[in-house]
Amino acid sequence: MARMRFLCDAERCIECQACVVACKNENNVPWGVNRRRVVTLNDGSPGEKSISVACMHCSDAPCIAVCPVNCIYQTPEGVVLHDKDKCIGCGYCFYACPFGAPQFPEMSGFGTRGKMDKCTYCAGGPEPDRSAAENRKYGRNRLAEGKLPACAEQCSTKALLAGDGDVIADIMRTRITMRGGNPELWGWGTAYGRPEKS
Amino acid sequence: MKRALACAALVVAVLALAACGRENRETRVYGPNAYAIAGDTTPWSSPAFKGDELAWNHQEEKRARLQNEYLRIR
Repeated sequence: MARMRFLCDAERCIECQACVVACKNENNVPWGVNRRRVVTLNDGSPGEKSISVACMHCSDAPCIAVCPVNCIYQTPEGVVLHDKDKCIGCGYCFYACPFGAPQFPEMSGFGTRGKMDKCTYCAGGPEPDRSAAENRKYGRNRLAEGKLPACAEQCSTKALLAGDGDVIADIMRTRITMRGGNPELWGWGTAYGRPEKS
Repeated sequence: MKRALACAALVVAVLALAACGRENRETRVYGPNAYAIAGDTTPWSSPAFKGDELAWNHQEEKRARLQNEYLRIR
């Protein structure tokens, strides 16, 4: 069974924002919601580093533990998904997430939050696969088409990798050997350092 | 009076312990039954794979390996 993971190589990311655009385009993400974003540290200084951040689909996801209505679940492939019909927009998942992944569209002038929205690993949600309802609520289900998330598949420098954890770890090991060290694997330990729930 | 107090104490004790019977949330959202519990379907149950999990796994691994440009430039 594949265990789906994201890996961002900060040594390669050139802050082109193509992953952000690909995600928005593929999933029809509304204004004000960014499922994926590129964060740059020491911007403008020599040695600046960028990293593409979204939901990392953690092994032991803290958002699942804090959700008061159990709307977040983890599939056997390790993808963390949620049910927008159950979500009450409380925001607990946002406070629990170490990556700031959950997003909340503003729904009214009184500051109330809408349903949580986050990266689905291009795997849709609890609606029939590739249905109009799934596409409208969660975006495109590329996993059901045998594809990987759009952000990683179109990354020009292959800084962002997606797929089975063992496979992308192999790719990263080859890279580190070829460039003589310097892993720059930000977020990997935070997301996948803890054992999986079963 | 003592009997009434004892009854009241019993009722309070039952109410206080009621929360202990709450179901374990973690068993509801993880593991192999997560799809069924959430009302979702597996990716390999789509028309493209017709329930063939092995074929889906093979396809995903193939696409993941294509991300390795060191293999692609050989």
